[in-house]
Amino acid sequence: MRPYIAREWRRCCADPRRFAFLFGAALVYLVLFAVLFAPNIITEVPCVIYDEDQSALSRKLAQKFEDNERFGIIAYAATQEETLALLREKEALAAIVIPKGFAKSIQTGSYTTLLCVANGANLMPIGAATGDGENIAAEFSDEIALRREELRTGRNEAALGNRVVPVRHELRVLNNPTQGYRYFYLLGLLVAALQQGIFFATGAAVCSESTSQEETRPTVRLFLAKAVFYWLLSMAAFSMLLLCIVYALDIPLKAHTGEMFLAGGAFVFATVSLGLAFASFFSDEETFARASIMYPLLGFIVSGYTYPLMAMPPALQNAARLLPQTWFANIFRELFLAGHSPQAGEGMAAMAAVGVFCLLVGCARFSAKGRGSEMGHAS
Amino acid sequence: MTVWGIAREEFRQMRRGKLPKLAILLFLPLFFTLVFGTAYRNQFVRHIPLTVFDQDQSKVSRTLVQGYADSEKFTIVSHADTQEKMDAELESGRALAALAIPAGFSKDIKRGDGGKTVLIVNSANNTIGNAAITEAWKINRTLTIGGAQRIVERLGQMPDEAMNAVYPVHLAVRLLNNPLAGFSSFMLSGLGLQGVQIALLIAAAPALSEEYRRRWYDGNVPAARVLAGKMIPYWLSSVASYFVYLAAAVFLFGTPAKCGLPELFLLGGIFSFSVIGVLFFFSALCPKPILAMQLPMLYVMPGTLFSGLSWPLFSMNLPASLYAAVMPIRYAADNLRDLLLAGYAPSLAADCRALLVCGSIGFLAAWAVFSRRRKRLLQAEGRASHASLYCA
Repeated sequence: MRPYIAREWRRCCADPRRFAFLFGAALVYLVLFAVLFAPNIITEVPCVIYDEDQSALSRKLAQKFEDNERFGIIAYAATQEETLALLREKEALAAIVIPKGFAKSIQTGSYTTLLCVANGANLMPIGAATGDGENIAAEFSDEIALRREELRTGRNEAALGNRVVPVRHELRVLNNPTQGYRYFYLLGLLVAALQQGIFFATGAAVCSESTSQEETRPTVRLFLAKAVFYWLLSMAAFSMLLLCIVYALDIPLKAHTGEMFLAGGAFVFATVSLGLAFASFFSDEETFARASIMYPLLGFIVSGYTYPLMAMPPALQNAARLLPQTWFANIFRELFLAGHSPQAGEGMAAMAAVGVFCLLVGCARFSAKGRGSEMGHAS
Repeated sequence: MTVWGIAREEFRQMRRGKLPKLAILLFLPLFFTLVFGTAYRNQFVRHIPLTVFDQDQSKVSRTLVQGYADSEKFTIVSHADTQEKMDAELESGRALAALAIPAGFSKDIKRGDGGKTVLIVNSANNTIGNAAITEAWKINRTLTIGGAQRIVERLGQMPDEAMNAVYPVHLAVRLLNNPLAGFSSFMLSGLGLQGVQIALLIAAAPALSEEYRRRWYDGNVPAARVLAGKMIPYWLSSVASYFVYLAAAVFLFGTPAKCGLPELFLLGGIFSFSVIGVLFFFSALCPKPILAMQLPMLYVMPGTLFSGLSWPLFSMNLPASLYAAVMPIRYAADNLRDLLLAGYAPSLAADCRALLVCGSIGFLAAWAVFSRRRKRLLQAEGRASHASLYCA
């Protein structure tokens, strides 16, 4: 086995692209997406306020939207047409409409309805903005209710507070308390990049055998040597990635390092085996690259990393569970953010099974190629 | 050889091989649309597993729990009787949210001391976390207002007056263009467009570097003509592919199509031109076809997230905005979604101009590099054949 591994090292040095794929792809993604998600949360969603009432109370409410960092008030519209035009031109993504008679309705003991019109095409900023808008409106409503009850009953605010708002709901957000997108997206994207790097490197390793001038014949032993060599090299790339995440991105690893390496080892094993087996079906690297480029986006979306697996149809869920990325991307994020992953055990077993299966298929296919070329030489 | 002759030859080449480029170009975006459309078929997250730890076991607490049970966003998977069991449910992943109602909750409300509940949400996946928090907020708010109304009623007010007293300001939210806040309308068109881009990366990116290796056209055919001839079949196929995937998104997955075909054609046509221009530049730079596919991956693959399709452009910092500015998809994805969902795209004209500029620069740069390299290669070949003749 050792001479084969040494041969693999020499071939890798002769084709430095393989090092670049393994170590470079994830690093480049790390820089790109760390820059993209540096703001972490969405703030300053462009918003227009159309205050038909123009009263002290309506201005107070408008001020609350101004003071909230989620909203960036770009204009105070004078007419409904102006409001709609700003929404239509996408200069504003949301509009707060304070109706005429807003203050009067409140003062006369009636109620009033604010309108929040938002462009729902992009759910990411609008989900956050409407959520904060509802909070602002609710707090404002409670404040007014309290003041009105104070005036009506003559009791003080402290005595009335629990009557106007009889239930307080506390919220505890685990694992990503700020609900930042850096933690949410970045880790899974790095897993996807590492996976693609491994695919390209293993693809080059297998496909180059068909054009190799060397005497070495494709055998099971050579295939296994490739698997061992690329597993070791990929684990080095994985370790480098972990160091970069912890020290460069400052995302602490809450789980035990051993657990992370165990899960990472299983993922790298499954991915290396999958890459080697898949490449053994192609006679040239170019066709293999063509086929493997189709995978990253597909794998990322169906992995359930962003839109959760539980919301997908069962057939797609089952198909997605055959992909190592589906297991590892979520485990990786949970180990970083929560310190444990409930699906780690099951995931590692699944990845190991995928790895063993691919290794067997790859061995059979690779050695068959060897026999084929031998027969070709003989004839 | 004419431009059409080169185009015909390129088209013939596109149909060859085990994995023909033409098949990839035509069917990859459609395949992506079918898979992603199926993934997003339910439109939003439902049935978030919830564990309930109700220490109060009162009528009020049961009303609150019933609110969660009635919501389609939550599914109550267990009722914990100790805090340890509730924590265990969260840790094991069987529950992604937990509702804790302390003992004396209902008495506290009746006494006027105010009751308190705690909602714990596992937000490692923000999509689940956001959905749970938003829905819980609505359920809790309904209970709070209902409770407050009853308290004020007991103080001698009529039901309507009591309701107005405790809930004087309502907020109505109206979502334009995507009223159901569905994921399919949000993402599908943009992901399909990324599919077109990836298909072009696989098919068109190696086009010029293949020419360095195989030299199908001799030195008498100008480089500009080779570029134009090669561009035509990729452009036609990618535009066809764009309409095929859009048809699938509209007819199979219910994505609205409020705009007319000419606008869609304008955007798709210019987008394809621009992507091919940029990819040809990469192709001209790379000596090997495989490198011409692999190198632009760093530029094409992050496109979905840099396009403004999900993470909005106004939230990007300067370096991210600059990087996004040189990506064709940044000018197309959001416009396409606007065209489909709203029927118009306010920045369509400006972004089409940007795409044209981007594509033209790509083609000019590709032409400059390609013609120089090709000339050098042909000269070297000429010298070699001259030397061999001389030796002979």
